[in-house]
Formats: sequence, structure tokens, C-alpha cells
Amino acid sequence: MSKKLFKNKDIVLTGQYLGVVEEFLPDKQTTFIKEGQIYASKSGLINIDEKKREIEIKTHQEKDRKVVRKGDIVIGTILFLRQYSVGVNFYTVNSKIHFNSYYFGNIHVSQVSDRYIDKIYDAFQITDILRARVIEQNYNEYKLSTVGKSLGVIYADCMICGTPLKKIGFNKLRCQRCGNVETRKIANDYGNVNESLRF
Amino acid sequence: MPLIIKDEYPEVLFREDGKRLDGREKNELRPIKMEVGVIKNADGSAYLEWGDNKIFAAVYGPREVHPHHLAKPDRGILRVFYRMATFSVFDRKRPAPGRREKEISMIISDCIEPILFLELYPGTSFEVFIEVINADGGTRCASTTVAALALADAGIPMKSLVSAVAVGKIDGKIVVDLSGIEDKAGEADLPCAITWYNKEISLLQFDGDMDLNEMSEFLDLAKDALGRIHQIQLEVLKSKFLTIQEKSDEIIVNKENQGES
Repeated sequence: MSKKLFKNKDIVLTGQYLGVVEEFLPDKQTTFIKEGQIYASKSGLINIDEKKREIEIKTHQEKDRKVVRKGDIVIGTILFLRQYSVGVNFYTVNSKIHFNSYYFGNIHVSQVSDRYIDKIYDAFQITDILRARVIEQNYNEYKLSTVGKSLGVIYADCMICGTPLKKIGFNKLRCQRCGNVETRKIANDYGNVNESLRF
Repeated sequence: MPLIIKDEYPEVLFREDGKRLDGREKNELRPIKMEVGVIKNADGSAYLEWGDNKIFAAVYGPREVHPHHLAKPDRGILRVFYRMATFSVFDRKRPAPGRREKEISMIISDCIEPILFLELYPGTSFEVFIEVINADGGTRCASTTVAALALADAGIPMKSLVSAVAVGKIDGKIVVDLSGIEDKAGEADLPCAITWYNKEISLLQFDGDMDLNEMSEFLDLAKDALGRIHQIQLEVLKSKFLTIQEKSDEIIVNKENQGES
């Protein structure tokens, strides 16, 4: 056994030599490999997992990134309905407003809920605001999913008169003004959402 | 009426004791001071004082591209904006970006691009804004150096840092790091930059009269100076993380204390 180069929470700088590929499983986001050797691609504090032999660099910048990754929770509005999917423009990533721009994503009917959904308009309508999770990235379009209790529509307007709808069942909404009843895939905090929604 | 002042330079650029006009040896750099994290709104920033040069650099990214049609579907793009303040030189500099600024922006962009992993960020842009507050020779080298530092401060994955320095010939003698007067009155000027992960030259420009045999001599001198600049860059970057390391230790200690009580 050779002596250890680093211990946890040592400072490593951009371009510094960390070890060889036989020694560690390098993290793709913070390290890079050149000729079988691992180098740091970021500056920060090193973190070595002794059991899994994983090496990565922890930085403070990861919290406020502005790019979308797999697994992020996003909030957006429904642009249009297709036969088997909906188009969504989303504006926030992990509850941080991605101001002055948006990303585009799709939700397939199979990714709407864990229950069976016959038609896409049983779950969503145009202009609904919803919370979803990113499951796949495909160039500049994203695949989203609303499977889960906290995911789904968080704000909806009546199709007929445009007033906000009120929750009456686990997937039923009723208009206060005209009494119209609609079905949606609703998030469990519909009506008292923590995020401040602006229109 | 524009004020016309005839440029007058001293005839001899060396003092009697063999040193340069500002008292430096031939292979001596001007005093360099760097700082990171100076601009709060930017993702990463750096400030550089190199002799009389005063330069700010701010980095934003990865973020969405504006205008949208510039976005590449398979990789990110790097945009560099080098600007000089109107008060940065002796005459008033016209504030609109001119030919020189566009060229230097392009040079710095080409110089930095090989060290970034742009293919990891499709459809995004990295923007580097370089503002020269005070100029005194060698701003393109100083800007490249400070831009690399700001990118590292922003936490953008990079293969290594970049350092740049100008080597030149004044009064027939090869010197390193030309100042403003030496740049104008001297014979030759050769800015060069190095990417440290493969130790290759990433920027090489040339202006003036030079013998081809002198080229290797120029580059040997530059390599020595670039190593010193790289050390300063790394120290500055490290000093920032020293404070973060201390703070993270404090937080862990506090948590342990709370658990006991």
C-alpha cells in the first residue's frame, strides 16, 4: 500500500493530480481522466468514500446552479395537449426562479400517474400550473413525470368561466362560480402551495 | 477639437546600472496582486492588479443563451467580452467596442476554450466579462490570466488554469513582462499563454522585429515567468477555500456539541 495522497476535506485545486483510475472511481462532474490518471476539474474540498472507493470534490457552487439535471423538481405551465402527451414550459429549478427564460419538457400519458389514465385531458388542461420531476434529458427537451403524491397540478382555472377551482376529491375540482366539476392529477398540497405563484 | 499630443518616448530604455526604467531586472515581473469573489452578483469573479493594470473579470454560467438561435444543441458556447473603460488610458477611449476589443475578446475566447468541458453543457452559454479599469501594457495577457481565475472561482469544470505573459525585446535585449512604455518604444512584443494540463501554448501573437533563433530564447524566458504567475493564481484560489474549510469545521463542531447537550 502506498501512502495516502489526500485525506477527507483537503483542499484540491483545478488541474491537480488525484490518483490513478485503478485506485478510485472518479466523479464525472468534478474530475477528469487523462492517460489513466485522475485530475481535479474544480477547486474545492475533496471527499473520498473508503468503502465504495469513490472520489469527488465538494464545492459550494452546486447549490445555485442554473442548469437542469435528472431528478430536479420543476414548476411550469402547460402549453398544449397532444393525443398522448402534454407540452410544458418550466421556469423554476428546485424552487429557484430561472428568470428571463424557460425550458421545455414533455409528460407522456404513462408518466402522469401510477393509476390508469384513459385520456390525457382527464389529468391536465391548458394553462394549468404543475410540479413535476425531470426523468430524462434529450438535447434541449426534457422528459418529465408527475408520478408521486407531491407532484401534479398545483393551480387550475375553470374551463368555462376562468375562476380558480377548488379541490373536492382526490382528483376532482369544482368551480365556485358556475359549479363545473373537472378531473385533474392533483398534487397533495393543492390550494395551499408554499411557492409564491406570479401571473 | 481633439487634443493632439505627440508621443514621446525615452531613447534609452535601460538605466545606467543595467536595470529597466521602473527598476526591474530583465526577467522580473511587475508586482501582481489577485483576488477572487469580488463581485457578488456574478457566479464567479476575480480582480487583478498587475503593475498599473487594474482588471475585473466576472463569469456567468452555465446559463441559457440569449439570443436563443446562438445555442448549440450538442455543446455549450463560450463568449468573452473584453472592454476598456473610457478613463483607462491617457486619452479618452471611445466607449463603443472597436476592432481591437473585438479581436482581443476573440483571442481570449480561443485561448480559454480548450480547457473547458463545453460538451457537458449542451444548449447553455458561459459568459466572461472583462473590464479594464486602468491599462498599462500587456492587458490581453493580464485579462487571460484573470479570466481563467474567475472561471475557476465560478466552479466551472476546467482541465487546468491558463496563464499568460508577454515577452519582448527592448534596446536589443530580451525582457519579460513589458510595461506600457516598453511596449510602444521597444522592438518586439510576443504575448503567449499556456494551458497547464498539457503544457501547450494556447495563445501566441507577435509584433515587431525578431530573429527566428531568438524565438526559443523568448519562450524559455516566458516559461519561467508563466510558472511564477501560475503559482500566484493557485495560491489565491487556495486562500478562498481555506476560509470555507475552517467554516465547515466550525459547523461540524457545533453540530457535535448540540448532539451532546
